[in-house]
Amino acid sequence: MPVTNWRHVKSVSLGLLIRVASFTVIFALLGMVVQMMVVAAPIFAASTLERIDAPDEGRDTPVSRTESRDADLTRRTYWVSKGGWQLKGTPGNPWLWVHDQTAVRLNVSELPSDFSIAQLVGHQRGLAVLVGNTLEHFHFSQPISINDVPAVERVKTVVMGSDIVALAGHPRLAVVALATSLSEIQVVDFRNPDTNLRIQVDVAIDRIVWESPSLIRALTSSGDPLLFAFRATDIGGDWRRLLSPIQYEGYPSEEYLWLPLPSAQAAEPKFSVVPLVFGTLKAALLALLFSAPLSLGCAIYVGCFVSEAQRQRVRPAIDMLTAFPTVVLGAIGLFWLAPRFGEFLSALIGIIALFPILAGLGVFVVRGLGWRWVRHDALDDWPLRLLPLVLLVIALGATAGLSGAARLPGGSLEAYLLSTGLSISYFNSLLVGIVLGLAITPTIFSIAEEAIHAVPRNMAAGALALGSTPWQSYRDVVQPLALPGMIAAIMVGFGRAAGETMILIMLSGNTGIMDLSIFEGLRSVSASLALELPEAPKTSSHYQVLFAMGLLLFGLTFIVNTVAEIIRARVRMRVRGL
Amino acid sequence: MKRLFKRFFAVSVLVSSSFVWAQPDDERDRSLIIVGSDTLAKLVTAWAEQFYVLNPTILIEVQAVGSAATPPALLLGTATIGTMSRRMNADERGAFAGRQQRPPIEISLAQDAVVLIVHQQNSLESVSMAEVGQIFGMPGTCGSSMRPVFWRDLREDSTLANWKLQVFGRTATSGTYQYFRRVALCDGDPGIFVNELPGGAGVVNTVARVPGGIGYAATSYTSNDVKILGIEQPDGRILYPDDAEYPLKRTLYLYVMTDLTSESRSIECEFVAYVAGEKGRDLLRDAGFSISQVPDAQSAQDVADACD
Repeated sequence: MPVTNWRHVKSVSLGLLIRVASFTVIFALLGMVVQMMVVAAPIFAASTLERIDAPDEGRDTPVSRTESRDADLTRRTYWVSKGGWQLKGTPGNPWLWVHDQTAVRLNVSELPSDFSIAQLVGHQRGLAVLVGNTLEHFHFSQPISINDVPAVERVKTVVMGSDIVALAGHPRLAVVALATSLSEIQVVDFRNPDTNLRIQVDVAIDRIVWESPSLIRALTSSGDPLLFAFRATDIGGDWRRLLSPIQYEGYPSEEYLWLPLPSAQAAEPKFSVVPLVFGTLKAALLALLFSAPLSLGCAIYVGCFVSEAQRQRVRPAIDMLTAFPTVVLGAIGLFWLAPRFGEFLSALIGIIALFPILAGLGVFVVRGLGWRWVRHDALDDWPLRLLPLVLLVIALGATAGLSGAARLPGGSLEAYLLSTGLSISYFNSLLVGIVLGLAITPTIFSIAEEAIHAVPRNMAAGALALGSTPWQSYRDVVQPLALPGMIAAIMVGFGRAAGETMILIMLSGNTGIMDLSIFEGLRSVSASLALELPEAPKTSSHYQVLFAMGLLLFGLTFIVNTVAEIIRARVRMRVRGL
Repeated sequence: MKRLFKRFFAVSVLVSSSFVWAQPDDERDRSLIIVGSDTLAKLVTAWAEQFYVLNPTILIEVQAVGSAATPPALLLGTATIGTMSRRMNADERGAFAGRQQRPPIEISLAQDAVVLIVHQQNSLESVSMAEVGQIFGMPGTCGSSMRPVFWRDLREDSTLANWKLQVFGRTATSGTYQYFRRVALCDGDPGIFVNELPGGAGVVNTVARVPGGIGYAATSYTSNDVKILGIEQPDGRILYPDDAEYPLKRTLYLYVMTDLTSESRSIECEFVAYVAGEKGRDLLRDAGFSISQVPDAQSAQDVADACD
């Protein structure tokens, strides 16, 4: 009977377990990415129009007719409203006018003199006007001064091939359904000029109505209605609307807007991901700006200049900070830092400005006094012994910054900035950058220190032996080898900052503005996902766009982290060869 | 080894697919889950505590995510009672019809107001609704234009003339946000410059700290640290939240999924009866709400009566 080799069994089963675990993780990740793609994909689908026999029950809510569009049919005056304003037009007349609900203020828009309105239809913010064979799309445009009436602006012109017998405006979007004299049903999407949806029917059409946002009913002369299903995403099948500036109805110029509007029934949702990506990048770059000097400086010092015993004490302490929950950092930022941000900033400026001078002076004084506990041939024992000096310098710098700010006209940094016309928002990008920078500092430190420490010590020692100073040996021998690793560390830090959520929700103010000023707020992709996913309906374009953004964020951090990992692996190979 | 690999592959696919198609299960057993509005969170928690004392066998869970969470939770059955600081809209109602489900019973619960708040140092006492649209909306909201950037743009003699307006509001999940947008912003676009904060208390605390701040929140969140603004009417009167004609008054709703025709009295019914009862009404008044009646919705008492 053969003796069972238990050690072998153990190693095989352990190997099995590890493989199962790793495959599970990989496929779970893959599954999630595929799932996200499946959810996000419909947003890129093109609009469709098809003839159907019966409406799909319960799929869509019917259009509420409270806006008395039908009543207007009898008066032959068509209007769309925007806030307190109404845009009106009457068939047969060559003009459109803007009307205020409280006072009658006429603003006849400039139109060609031969412009005679054959028919017009409105949706909430705009008006489609039929002149002969041409469809003209008008909307309100914001005036420059406060007492002006909104202007009427011609946005787009679509020339139709044949005469139009019936026309109906989509209840929500800048989309018009029409029937031509050639018995064709056609949908014109003003948002996307490439849309060409048409269906040939054999009967003449009298009238056309939108039963719901996705259902068109065409009434024939014989009396039998024809039904057509119109499917379109909120971006009209044009993915460029996610990325390029859009002239929305009611806005004077092309803009990047993230206003997904989950509640309003009547307005067009605005899905530009640009402000959010901008916010994410802004926050991450500011965080790096704050964190990179701090963490790299720390890594160079710990990795190259302190004794192994000191390093063994410092490194685990900073590594442990990596696990510090960001929500706690966010809370500290919210309750402690934000209320006294002006003072913090003046102290920080004082420290940054005075640290090199004071620290240099301090070291000079200490050495000049010839105190034996500071040896200038080795830096090994410095960190703890220099701590009192460093703390003193920081305290001096902060005091100088604060008292300097108090001496500014106005009495504080904020008041001074106010008098120069610069206002610091309570939730601003700099605040986010500082707290986010603190959050990623341990990560960058950890990876950069590892890269620096991986450089064989005997090389630096050789340089020292040949007479170079410790700094020269670092600069000329260690740094060239460790630099790729340090870059990788910064990239990983960037990836972490870009994906961070809690700090951004708590401190960024979640304002979707694109402003380069560091004193204004921002809105990041991750914060938008966290805030909006819970309330976005599962089949809505909003939900799909959020998932697409989630994929974008995943892709960004995945690529950055992968590149960083490749660089690290290469550095490890190179250093091993030495 | 190859076979082994294949087997792992199959296992991994199975595991990962379970991630993909995981569905929430809806097991319920003598437990009551209440979701919904952040505005009503304090009140509902107080109710739940007292109700639990009266009925120790029932497990109660309260989640206050925002009004928008109520319809999907009721639809999926993850909760049977939901609170909303606005009325369910047609889309949300339509979803129940689409799933061949009875819509929930709508109860008008209480009335509160959304108030506009500024910092104590601010000399501003009242604003008109047109100014509210200007401050909180994108340019063009309610026919307005030109957003005031500094307080001097709004009032020449403001004590904070050189301060920038810092506008604070709620996130889109909030019923207060949606109500405010519909009523104060004429259903227009809210400004992208508005700081969106996850809770009403956050808005009040932040405005209390920011001299140039202005925000909106439900009355129940306001504190003495902030100044409540009056609203100027076109006829020159200035209305405060206690006035009957205050334009930002709203009704808060309770949505209940239960079968009124069934023979045994459900937990949901018992909860509604408790809410309609004396103790429930006392807590409601303590929380600063007034009991209201809108013509086209049932009161808690009506539903409690129908349960029996």
